[in-house]
Amino acid sequence: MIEGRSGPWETVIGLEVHAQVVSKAKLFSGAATDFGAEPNTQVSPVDAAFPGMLPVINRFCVEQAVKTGLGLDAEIKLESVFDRKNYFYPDLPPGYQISQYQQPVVGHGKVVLDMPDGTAREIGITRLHLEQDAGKSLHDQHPTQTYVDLNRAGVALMEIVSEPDLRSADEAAIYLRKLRSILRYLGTCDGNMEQGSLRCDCNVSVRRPGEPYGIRCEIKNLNSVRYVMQAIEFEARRQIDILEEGGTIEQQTRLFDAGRGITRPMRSKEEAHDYRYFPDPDLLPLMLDPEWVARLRAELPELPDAKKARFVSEHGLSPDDAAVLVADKETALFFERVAAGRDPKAAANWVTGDLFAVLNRRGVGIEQSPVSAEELGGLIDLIADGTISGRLAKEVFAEMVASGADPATIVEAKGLRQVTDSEAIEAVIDAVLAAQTDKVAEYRAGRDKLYGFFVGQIMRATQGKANPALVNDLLKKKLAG
Amino acid sequence: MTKYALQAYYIIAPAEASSNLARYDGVRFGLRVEGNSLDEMYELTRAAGFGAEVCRRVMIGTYVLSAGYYDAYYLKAQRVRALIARDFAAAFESVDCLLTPTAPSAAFAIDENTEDPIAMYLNDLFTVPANLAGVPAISVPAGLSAGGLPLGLQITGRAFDEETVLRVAAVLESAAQFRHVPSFVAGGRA
Repeated sequence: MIEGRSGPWETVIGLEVHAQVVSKAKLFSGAATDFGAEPNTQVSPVDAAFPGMLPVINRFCVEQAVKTGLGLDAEIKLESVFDRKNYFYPDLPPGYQISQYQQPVVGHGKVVLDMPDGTAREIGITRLHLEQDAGKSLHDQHPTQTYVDLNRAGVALMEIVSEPDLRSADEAAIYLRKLRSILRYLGTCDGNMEQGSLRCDCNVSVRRPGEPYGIRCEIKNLNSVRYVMQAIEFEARRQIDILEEGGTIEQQTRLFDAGRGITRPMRSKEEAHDYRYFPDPDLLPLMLDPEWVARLRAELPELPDAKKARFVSEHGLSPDDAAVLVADKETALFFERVAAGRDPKAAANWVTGDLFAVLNRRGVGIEQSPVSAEELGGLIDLIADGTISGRLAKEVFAEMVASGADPATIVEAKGLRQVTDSEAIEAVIDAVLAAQTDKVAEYRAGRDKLYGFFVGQIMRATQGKANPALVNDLLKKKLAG
Repeated sequence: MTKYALQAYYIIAPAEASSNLARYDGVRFGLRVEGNSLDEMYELTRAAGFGAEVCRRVMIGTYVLSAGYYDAYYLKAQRVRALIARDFAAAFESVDCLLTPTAPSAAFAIDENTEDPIAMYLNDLFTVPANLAGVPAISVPAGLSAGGLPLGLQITGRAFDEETVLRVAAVLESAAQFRHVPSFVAGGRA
């Protein structure tokens, strides 16, 4: 809810996400799809729309779209149709984009959001369809001319359309992150918003709670979660201001100006394109074999929701810890390798605590972690078998991060092995107590707080290597004396 | 439904043509006429590069695909097309192929019908049904009109049954013994 001058308003948001399909070749041609190649080096005669060239569908791209549909718990359409969306633009050589209009390959589905208050919220997916990406117009290469790079022309895109179920910029961000996580788990889109493999159009309207939907504006081509949030917040406030002054919202396509944090009109309803969609006569309807779809369903990897539930039930993690660990596929895999055959809670604590702190400090993902899952597991083993104390383990971990050495080597080299010889510890305790006779007397007279002081003295005397449990045991006996 | 074939054809074919020809926009292929804006370049290039008949078909095709007209024209024509295909399939349950004239009249002279495109389109009356139905057809020269111009016979067969169509055409061709050669060709040969 947004509080206006005249009362509360509800923001209603639907997102259209364009997700570039991970595939070696384009949707209808054999040209490569690598990001960042020299301009116009990955262009086939089909992509450049040479006369007489005909499209041939890439089976793998269809597989990726169907997998994504399955991952969104959506209906897979066994028959779908490719249409032409006609418009003139220099980076669209044929003058039309091959897309799916009335009969998309994937129908209704859903995405479940983990809300900050711990509840789950279901967002409807309207559809997913396959289409070609356009080329790229480069306006900054020449003072008066525009250059065109066709490397991206014809790359497969999945357009994933949500229902208008989102109610705030925060929810939109949670939805986008969750969708991206699912796509990455599936391996169907790398989700890289900076490189443009994931782009988003936002449909935003406002209404009084309980009233019908208001007139919406579409904000085009947002390429970061932050921009999506900023654009929605600005746009909702803009619409509320107009309505509260007695005005009406004009249905528009708008652009987000990231520099100024505002949206501005691109074209109104009257100027809207007439895309003259019609079935592409060069392509037959796409017919899927139900057995093939069933096989893809059976081969689907474990997705974040299922993994989170399993981390809670199987590993006894808290839902919060589990949610943090499963959000990123690589993190979840890392955790599972650390936890294998060990205490899962200890593994979760090390990964979400000390390791995340290091990664955040370095600004890197878990793929670039300075400590491998096996090494971190080794550290936990050393704690579990009593070789080092938990306190010393922090020191060993810091050394692992700094030097890249494995924990056992560090423990040996630095002589950090825990002292578990009770006679040796007893001797240290005796020495400490003998040097502090007045404090011992005070303690015995009732100053319980001095207990920690004695432990500290003993740990200092053993350079922290004394087994804490043994120290406790023996110290209590001695003080009870 | 074949009596509606011509009308359906002249909706569907221009619709496809309007889209197929969009690539000739002056950006990538062939002619470019510079303008003061991108849209102006498109307009000048296409106006200069396309002939009258192509422009006419692009206009018709764009119209029948436009929002508000699509259902009334393009969609209806596609439905007619499906019915025509069904008519042919039904006919081929009792016959192996169909024999028709190739055109309703002998060839007209160059530039004769440019003022009346409908009259020109009517010449396609017998040939477009096969295109819409997706069945093979062949035209074989069979004789001369009263004015001495060649007339053809068309054989239309079942989908993917080109073999029957070619065999029937061969029989007709040898029976017709068509040997006429236009005088300017015959003269050039001497």
